[in-house]
Amino acid sequence: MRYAAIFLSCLVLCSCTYYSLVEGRAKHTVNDTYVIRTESPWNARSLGSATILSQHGQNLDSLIFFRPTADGEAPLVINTEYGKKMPIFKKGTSFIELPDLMKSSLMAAGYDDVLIQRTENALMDGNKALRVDFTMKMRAGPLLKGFSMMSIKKDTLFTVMFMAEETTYFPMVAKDAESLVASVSLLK
Amino acid sequence: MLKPGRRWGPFAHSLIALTLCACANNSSQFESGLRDATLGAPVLSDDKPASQQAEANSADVVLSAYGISNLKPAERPALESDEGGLWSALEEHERMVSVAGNRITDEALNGYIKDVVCKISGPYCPQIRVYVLRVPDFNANMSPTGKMEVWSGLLLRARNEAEMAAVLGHEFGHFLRRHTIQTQRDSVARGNFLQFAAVALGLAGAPAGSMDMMRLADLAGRMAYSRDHEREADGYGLRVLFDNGYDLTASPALWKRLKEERSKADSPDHFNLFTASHPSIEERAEEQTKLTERLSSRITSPQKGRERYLEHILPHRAGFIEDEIARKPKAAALALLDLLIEDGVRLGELYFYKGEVHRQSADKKGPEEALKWYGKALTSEGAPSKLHKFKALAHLRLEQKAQARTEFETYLQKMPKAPDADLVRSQLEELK
Repeated sequence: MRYAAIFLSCLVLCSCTYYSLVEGRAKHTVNDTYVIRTESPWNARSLGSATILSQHGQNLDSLIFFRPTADGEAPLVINTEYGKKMPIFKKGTSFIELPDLMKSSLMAAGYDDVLIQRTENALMDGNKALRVDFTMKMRAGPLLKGFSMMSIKKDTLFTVMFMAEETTYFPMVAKDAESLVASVSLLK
Repeated sequence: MLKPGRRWGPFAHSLIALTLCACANNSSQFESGLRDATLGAPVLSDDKPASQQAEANSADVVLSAYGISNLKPAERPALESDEGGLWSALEEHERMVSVAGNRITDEALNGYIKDVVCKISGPYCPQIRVYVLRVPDFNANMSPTGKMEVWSGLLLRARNEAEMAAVLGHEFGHFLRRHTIQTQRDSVARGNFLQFAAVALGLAGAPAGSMDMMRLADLAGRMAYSRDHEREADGYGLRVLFDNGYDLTASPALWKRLKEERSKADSPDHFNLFTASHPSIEERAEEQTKLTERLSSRITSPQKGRERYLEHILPHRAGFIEDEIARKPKAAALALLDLLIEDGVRLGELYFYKGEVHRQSADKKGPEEALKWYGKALTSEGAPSKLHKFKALAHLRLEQKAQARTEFETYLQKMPKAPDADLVRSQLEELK
């Protein structure tokens, strides 16, 4: 009986801990889709269908790996409560449509003043990708600065997005986030 | 043979429960100095003989019903009082609103709205702090501490200063009458009463379900109380319009349009006795029309303040519309745009956004429909230069590459330094 109680307590405590350590200088697989190499340690958690890495806490900096988005699905979905008005990724979407898809998705998710600062052609695991730099505001929080890397492979959209508080945390974490995103290779 | 004691017992218990609840609903929660006797009672009386109606429904009756001389809002209560606790919580909320990411900090817009608030609030102006927020819903709110929130959804839907002032005046009414503390006290009193009634009904052996019935009656009572506050605040809204020489028809006109928007958006206003915290839109429009009829003759040259209003709102309108499109279903966005188009200001911009709603929709005919509206926008005043990029995207969807190329080129000519100019150039290369 005593062992059962201890076992149950451990089970309860484990379920309370939703962050796990992602060790630095190692390879990891995220969402069964992205293989990454970390330089620094990160904290990881799953939220909805996405996996979020953070160094100082999710509201201050977060590197989000979205699940691959197929035709007719909403990209950038974390919380299902926003799902009903999220824009849809359609088969045949060209790269030039991606910045607006990203912007309208972020607005539908409740962010304000989403401003696209720059777009740039890039590569993700050797596939054509688009990098979009942006700023936006959280309703009850600070100004955020970030970038997203989006690639389309076999009519599926892959998105990794980094965002952090603009003045302090973006400069602190952006370099690690950049190198991690550059290391992404796709399993699917 | 009938045994009345057993057969009628549950019914009698239920009746007692409901009566007790009705008593609770009638408990007075007002302080001296606040108008309490007529809360919820109609200001105008339709049931008097025709000979007495004119006098009973005169402008003086309306104005005295919404008198402000004996009210003392915004006086800081003692910290240990129930109102003191409420103030502390509201001040903490205000601190969060003051740094909210969706707060609009544009000085011209804030200054203008603050001026209107000062105009309608007169001597209370120094006690009121206005926060303009980007929230795509028709609303404003005010707390007894003097914090007023004005949402972008209201600014987008009002067509002139008088309409905006009607809503701000309504919120000012809540502030004047300290409705928040009244609601809190009412809620505590009802909760206490329900606890007592639960014990009493248990001791009396009331049948299962009696308490549920009381809770339902209590809920209906709370909502009715809230609706009475809203009716009273509507009256104050009209009163401040009258005092400042605004066009009184602004208020009913706004309510009628809101009703039209909701029914077009497939979300008509269904009144529910147990959940409606506000009176139905029909009732508000009708009541405001009646009151307006009594007061209008006293205003010689009613002001709408349309030019002033548009001068301050139009620079922000595109952003407000984008918020609505991003967060509302297609039918709701189109219903709103149709009403804005009806108003006829800067139509090119509105047709462009109507095209955007169609282009962004999952509808197969979306791109074709979007192109129709983009075309209409280009022949109207105020179409934005970025329209050409979105027109190109719609052509791309329809695999009309030549037209897409032309539109992309026009976009680059008009906006050579756009943040996505390089991306458009590389897209043009692909199209060659």
